[in-house]
Amino acid sequence: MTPKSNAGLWRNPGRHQTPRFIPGLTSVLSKIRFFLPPLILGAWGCVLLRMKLSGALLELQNPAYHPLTLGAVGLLLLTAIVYPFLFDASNSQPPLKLHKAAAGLLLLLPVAAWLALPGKNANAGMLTRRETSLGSDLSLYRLLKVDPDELHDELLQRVQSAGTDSFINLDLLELNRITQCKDLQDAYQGHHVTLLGQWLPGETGGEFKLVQVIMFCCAADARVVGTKVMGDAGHRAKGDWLEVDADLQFDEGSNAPRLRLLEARAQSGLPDIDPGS
Amino acid sequence: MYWLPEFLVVFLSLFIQGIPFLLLGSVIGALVTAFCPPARLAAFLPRNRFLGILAGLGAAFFIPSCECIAVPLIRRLIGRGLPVSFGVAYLLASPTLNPVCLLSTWVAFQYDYPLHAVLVRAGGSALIAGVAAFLLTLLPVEKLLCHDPVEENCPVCTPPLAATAPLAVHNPPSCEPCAPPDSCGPECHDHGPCQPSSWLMHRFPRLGSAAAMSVGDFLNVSMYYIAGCMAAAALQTILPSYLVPTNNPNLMIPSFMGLAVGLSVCSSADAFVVRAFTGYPLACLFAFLWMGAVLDLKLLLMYQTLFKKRAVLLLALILILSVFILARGAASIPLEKVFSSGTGLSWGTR
Repeated sequence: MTPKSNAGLWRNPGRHQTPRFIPGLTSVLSKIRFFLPPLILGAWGCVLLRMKLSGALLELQNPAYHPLTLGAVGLLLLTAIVYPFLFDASNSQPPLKLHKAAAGLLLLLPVAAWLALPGKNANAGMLTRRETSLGSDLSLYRLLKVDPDELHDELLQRVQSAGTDSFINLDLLELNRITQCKDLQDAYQGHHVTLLGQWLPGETGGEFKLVQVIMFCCAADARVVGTKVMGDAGHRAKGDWLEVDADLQFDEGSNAPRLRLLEARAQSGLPDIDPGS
Repeated sequence: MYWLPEFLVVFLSLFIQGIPFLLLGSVIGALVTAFCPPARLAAFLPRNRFLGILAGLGAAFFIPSCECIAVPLIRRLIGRGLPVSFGVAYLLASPTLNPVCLLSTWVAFQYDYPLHAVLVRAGGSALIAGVAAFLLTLLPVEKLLCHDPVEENCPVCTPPLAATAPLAVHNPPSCEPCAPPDSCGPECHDHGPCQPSSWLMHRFPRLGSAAAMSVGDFLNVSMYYIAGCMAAAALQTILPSYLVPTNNPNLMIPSFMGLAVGLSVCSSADAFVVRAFTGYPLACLFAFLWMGAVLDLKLLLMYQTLFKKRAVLLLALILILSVFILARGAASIPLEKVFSSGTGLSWGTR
């Protein structure tokens, strides 16, 4: 096509033709555009699979939904592979319009977000903002479908079967339940416990916080439960996973737990726990 | 940029949570459209307005399609003689009453009140769809329906992201393939006979067209979903909470309705988006769910391919009023307490 004027240079000569400034460019652009959807679908599938394999998915989604996500990964990858058999790349492609290019970029945002996500402790940013206090939130148990009475009996049984000097494994939600019941407080008073959680700095140098994200569905509705631990666990990055041995006492007045650090062990990588399910 | 890590986490988590349901909705909708052409049903449908609306509401349970699929589908079917009352009722009800949407609502509210949430959402949507369909069909057909069919892309011929029609970005390539590609004729498509485009289309025409349609639908709907996830993540992490008033239902409900219109999230996954708004009364969340399924920015444009502009404005007015009245009524009932059987445990108070 030979443009008759400068204005004509940019004018679309037909619905399914583009001005040919550089020979072959249209064809290359057409091919790129043809393969953009399967590339996007394949990239989404690979990102989700990578997140699952690296354990990063645990910080974003309740593990109860991981099978659904894996199903979606399979379908995305399958679609990306089958795509060239669905459409014919040799068919003439209409010119790319600006809003279509913008749509393509929008579809790539999840991949960009994954690339920008910190590799370690991705949820560290929300830990301090969403921290809730211990001992006041009964609705946590209802939302998690944990029967507080059943949990109460189980915790009582656990402490009764434990020896005086043995360490009792607890998670932060269980510690929350103990804090709510006077008889559990009495039973656990002075016992050694082992807790697993993520490290946050305390208000003073001689203490730190051990927290855990509870997800009902995904990180969008996550809450954070946590407790203070007296002692120095060393300098850590926010969100580092720690296993803490501590001596458990309860305040007479406020019933708040007072944990005195005995030993802290760093957990390399995300431990295999089930946050919130 | 202290908010960026949390923003990314919330955005990605919402995206991951909704993608399986968007996929499921696209695949089921395309399979139904390809293998059971609803046009055949038109001959058996009642012409009476009330019965047509009831049949439309009932069909919404069994013919899964989200709002993006329903508009072009109903446009084609009404053009082939589908009763208008049935079509309008189905159009407004199917985004919410379809099994995929109800399933995603159940999952999103799984740790709250899944059954109550599904029933309230479905009941409210059926009521709104029924009332709006009844009022809208009081208009004479010539004042209601658009005469000029807008050219749209055939999913069988045109790859996703390559659409050329003026409404392509709002109108996903999900037109009903009236027949398998190998038997398509000029009467099937506005743009002429379909060109079977690949080996798969030749060998397995229905399956191939279903796959092509589902890919196109999925990608188009995903754009809006990603935009919705970004907005929800921004609202949680960047924007100050005072932008959404928290103490006056007369302001909160319109805020959430406006949010639903602006976000334009697909009904297959909007329950996850709204579930992220922890701390707001349930009535507001339901206002979001009721509104978003029947009226948003993309639907306002898509409705104009079926209805005349004045009819679209009337429909928008009816929908806004009916959602507000219903949500305001719901706000006067302590839904959280009713749902949790009077235990007093509240999820929805800030």
